[in-house]
Amino acid sequence: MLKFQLVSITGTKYDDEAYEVLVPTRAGVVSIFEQHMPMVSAAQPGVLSVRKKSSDPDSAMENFAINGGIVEVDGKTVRFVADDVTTTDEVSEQEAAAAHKRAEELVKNAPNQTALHEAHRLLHHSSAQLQIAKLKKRHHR
Amino acid sequence: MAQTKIIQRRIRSVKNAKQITKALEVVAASRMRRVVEAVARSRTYGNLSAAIMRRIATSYEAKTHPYFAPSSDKPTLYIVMTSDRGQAGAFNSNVFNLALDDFKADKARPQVLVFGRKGARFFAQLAGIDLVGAYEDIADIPEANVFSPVLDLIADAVNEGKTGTVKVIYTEFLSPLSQRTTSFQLLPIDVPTEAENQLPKEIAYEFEPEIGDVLDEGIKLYFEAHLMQAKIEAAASEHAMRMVAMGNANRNASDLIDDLTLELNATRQAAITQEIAEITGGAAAISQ
Repeated sequence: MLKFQLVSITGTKYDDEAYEVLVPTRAGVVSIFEQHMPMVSAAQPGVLSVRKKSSDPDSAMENFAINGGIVEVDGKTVRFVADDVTTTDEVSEQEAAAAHKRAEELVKNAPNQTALHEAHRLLHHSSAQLQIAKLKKRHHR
Repeated sequence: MAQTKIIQRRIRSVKNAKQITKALEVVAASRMRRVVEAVARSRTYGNLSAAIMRRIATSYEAKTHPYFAPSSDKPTLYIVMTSDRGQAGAFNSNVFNLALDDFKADKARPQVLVFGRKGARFFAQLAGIDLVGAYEDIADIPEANVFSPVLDLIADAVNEGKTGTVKVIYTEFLSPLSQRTTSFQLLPIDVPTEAENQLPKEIAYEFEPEIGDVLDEGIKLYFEAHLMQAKIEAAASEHAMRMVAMGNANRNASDLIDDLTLELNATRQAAITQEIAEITGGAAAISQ
């Protein structure tokens, strides 16, 4: 087991034991287990998932939508620090879908390269939120 | 009679002022409670971002990064946290005094970026500085992206060689009754090496995908966390100081009302005594 801390500006979102943590980084999704080599990595907007016990199926994983951030691993502890973290409880599918649509508009109408880059980031973030909203819906069924 | 009317009018106006100060005190107290919770969270976040920065700062790439280079004689950029509203005791003037002291020690013309309407007005009229930006009506607990224009501004200023040092001047929230105006050096990044770092087992961290990306993200996080913390602490201090100032004003108003009521009674009594004296005097004059 490893210890996983997820801290955002609005507070600590997760601080408990975990079996596996899936982090979307710039180089792809990294799966972190106990005894992972010490690593510091920049995260990509996407869905971060936590498996609490090794017997948990994928549907029982806890999901968070993140908008970038830094993950630090030292073998026993995983710390994830990000400015914007959305938990499944905080997101509604309707809102996420609306945000996703807005981001798509922004990508289409971006006046310059920087704005386009920012819009893409927003798009990734909103699609991550939409994804966890859908995951939540599936579990409730 | 005229005298008592004047005193009565004054009592009424002091009573109105007392009501206002009472309301402001209650509002400030409730807003402070809300912000104080956020102070603790922002401190955790700030400490974590500093801890991560400490990991990154030992790498070679960080040592050659312009943000870590010791400052030269380039101008200093001050980010000053003030309030939008007044009636908060010495909150803003403490911040201004500290800023002015810091400006005096500077050789180059200081650059100022200010949060809060009071500060924006003060620094707009101040000679000998460059006001590079002013932000008003920012929430007590802002969203993280509020600071992204500030980060862009810092990045541009450093790349163009206009700024070497960035300092944040804000009011640290110690307790509801105690706040301290302080300045924090944001740039060049100087993370204090704690005992943790001096342990013999120095872990070699792998940076993925590459150190440059991690460094950029880490710096963004570090800046955001510290600006956020400064803003939230300033907001908490502002409300705490307003609460105390308004509490004092409220008590002063009560004292004033007591004094004026005594004075009113005395003058009214004097007027009655005089009237009786006049009547008895008149009656005595008639009977003689």
